[in-house]
Amino acid sequence: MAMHSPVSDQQITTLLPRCQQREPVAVEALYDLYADRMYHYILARTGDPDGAADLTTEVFLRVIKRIDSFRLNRQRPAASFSDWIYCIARNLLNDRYRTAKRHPQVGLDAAAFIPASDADPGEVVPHKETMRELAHMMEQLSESQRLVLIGKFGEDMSNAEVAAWLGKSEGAVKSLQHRALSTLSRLLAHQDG
Amino acid sequence: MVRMMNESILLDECLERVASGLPVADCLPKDAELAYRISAMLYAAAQVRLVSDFSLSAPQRLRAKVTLRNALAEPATRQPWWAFLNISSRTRGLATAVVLILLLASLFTTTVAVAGQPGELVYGIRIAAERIPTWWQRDAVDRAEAELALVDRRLVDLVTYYEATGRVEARAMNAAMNSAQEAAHQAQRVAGEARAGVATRLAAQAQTMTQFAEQVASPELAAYVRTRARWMHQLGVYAQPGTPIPQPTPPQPTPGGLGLPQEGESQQERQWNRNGTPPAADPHGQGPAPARPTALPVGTPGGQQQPAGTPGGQQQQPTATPGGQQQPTATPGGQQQPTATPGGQQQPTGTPGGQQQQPTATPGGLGGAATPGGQNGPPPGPGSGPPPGRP
Repeated sequence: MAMHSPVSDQQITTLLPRCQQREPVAVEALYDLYADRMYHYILARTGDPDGAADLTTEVFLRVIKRIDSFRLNRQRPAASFSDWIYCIARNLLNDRYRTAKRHPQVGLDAAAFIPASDADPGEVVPHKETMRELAHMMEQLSESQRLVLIGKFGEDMSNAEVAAWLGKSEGAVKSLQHRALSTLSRLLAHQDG
Repeated sequence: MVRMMNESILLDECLERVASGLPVADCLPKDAELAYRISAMLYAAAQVRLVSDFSLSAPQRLRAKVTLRNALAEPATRQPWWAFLNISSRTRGLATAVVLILLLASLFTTTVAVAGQPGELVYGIRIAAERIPTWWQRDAVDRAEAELALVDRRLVDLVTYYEATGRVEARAMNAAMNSAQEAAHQAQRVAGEARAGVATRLAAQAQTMTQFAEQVASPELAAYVRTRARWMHQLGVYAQPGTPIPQPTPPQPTPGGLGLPQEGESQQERQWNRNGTPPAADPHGQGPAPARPTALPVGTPGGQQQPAGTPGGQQQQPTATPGGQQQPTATPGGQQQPTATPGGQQQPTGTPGGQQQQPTATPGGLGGAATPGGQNGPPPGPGSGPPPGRP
């Protein structure tokens, strides 16, 4: 059972026109639908829990700025919107990486972060380091592989749910999962070795 | 491949068992190496699962929603039309750079082409580029003037090129003829002094080309140039006010290197066609092979005309004959060359089906006998008598 229930086509077709008319309630509902998934995706790629929260907000700011120009695919509304919002997130992260390369910041780990309310405080600090290492390894994967891993293990989605989310077959999801985990295990073994 | 598929299936089954709460040891296969790989991947999956230990806190959500509401309260800025493409700034920069490079390359190519000299590869592009401004001329007089200016330029190119190489630049010749034809056509749309001015200039350009033909050493080249000069003169006559004659048919343009042999074409002419340029004069005086045979009778001294048939249905070309009288032309199928007659009488034109034409009087009373196949009366040439329409 997924941590968060998948977004249905009906939800998107109902919310999208209202968001395009800039209704605050609709925009907040859209945020509630996608914020956690987006946060986990950005966290898996950056390894910085606090920074991921800010970037998640930034993604949604870009969404409402560009939502007028988005054209819904009537055949697969939820999947097409999901593709679009993750594309925005990808571009945002790429822009940040380029900026970071041009202006490297010292002491990225100095930023404080707020862990999940039910997280064990004793595990917070090791997790932070692990997340950063995980983010570095996730950059070695393809985008499809990253999304499959985050959907399956970050969101506890089933193969069928991930397949519907990404617009792929279940067989393709299993194959992507296998290749992604094989690469990650190799990287982890190299790191430990 | 099969091994990978099996491994993928095993992995997925193990993941489902682990998710169900079963111990890992129960999922692993008996094969040690495979078990090692599966367990490594299960460990990697567990690392990814750590992501789910983190989530947005309530204050973070609240702060985000406030930010979004503030952004909604701001006036909506109009997105550029390309916003839906979601192009990153880097891609936009690359696209701008590509467009700039293409523009610079076009500018460079155009500059090179404009500077192209006769005989060079880019000369054809220069000819085309110089024609572009004439397309924008809406007024018939302005258009005619522009075309006549191009004829002047091409005449200069012809003479310059011949003086440098002893060859005739066929592209310049064809372009001159096209521009002259267009000028004469535009003159038909105007009346009075403007039309007379165009006619006068065309006549002067024809005279220039005739003088150029006289400079050419090779008899074949000279005949080639003279033919075109004569046609330009006919255009000048056609452009004159009050001339009710149809537009003269141009001579066949030089194919310009297609190398297609024409029926009856000599080897020399085949080379002309292949190269697009008639060869230079033979310094030893032997000269190239005779010119392409046409149906035009070669005039004898005294101007007596002889009928001739037309091999293979070729379009006839006006050629000069001694005495300056133009020869009648005939084509199979009865298609006739529109020609002028003295005194302004219009020649009946041929129709498909080979209707026989009436004989017409010619200056000096030469030629003009009706022959099977429908030959027309001779059109006037230079020196053939008073121009039509004038006393």
